[in-house]
Amino acid sequence: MTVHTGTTATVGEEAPDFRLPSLSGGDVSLSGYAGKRLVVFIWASW
Amino acid sequence: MDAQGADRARPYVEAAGATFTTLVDEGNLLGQLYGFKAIPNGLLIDERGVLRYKRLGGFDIRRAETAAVLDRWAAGSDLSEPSDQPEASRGSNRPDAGDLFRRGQDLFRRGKADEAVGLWRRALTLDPDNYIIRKQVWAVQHPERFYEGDIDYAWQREQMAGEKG
Repeated sequence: MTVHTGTTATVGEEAPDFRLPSLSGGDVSLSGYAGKRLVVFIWASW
Repeated sequence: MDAQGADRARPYVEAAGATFTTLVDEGNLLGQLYGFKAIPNGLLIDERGVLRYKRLGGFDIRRAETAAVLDRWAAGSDLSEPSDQPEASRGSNRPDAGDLFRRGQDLFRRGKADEAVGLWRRALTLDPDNYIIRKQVWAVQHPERFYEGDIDYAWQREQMAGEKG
């Protein structure tokens, strides 16, 4: 797992890439969506 | 953002009939990368991978502001003007607290919930404003306040007053 300890993502700059397991199986990375406009919604059950 | 894993998240996705891809971030990787300690948050990322909008806290389609931003994004706007950010939701995650959180998560996955909560509580002493960790503790220790009917926010406010006071 990549662990950043410094500055975090800034609007107008490249979004930090990440790779996480999908609910439907397999891993999915942000960079795999190059060429598409994305909405990333971050939520939890609590 | 569920340290309890995919099985905890799946019913919500199915109930919503969600057709979008859902990822499970048990270790709070996104909190570290994007600088948040609470939810709900929204990111809009363009075709070239540039972050165009980041809303930490209050990203909710029922709010007029969120709905307007999403409408503009869908219509092709680059949303180049700055967005406001509620101060309470952002903040760098302390690496030492994050390490304790993930060690606790490993214990939780192996069925050692009490030991997991112990490490998560230690993480909170280092990073008391981290609600990703605090709510995880509450959800594991008091599932009835979260998973039987609506989430009990009045109870959470009482907990907060007691734990942080």
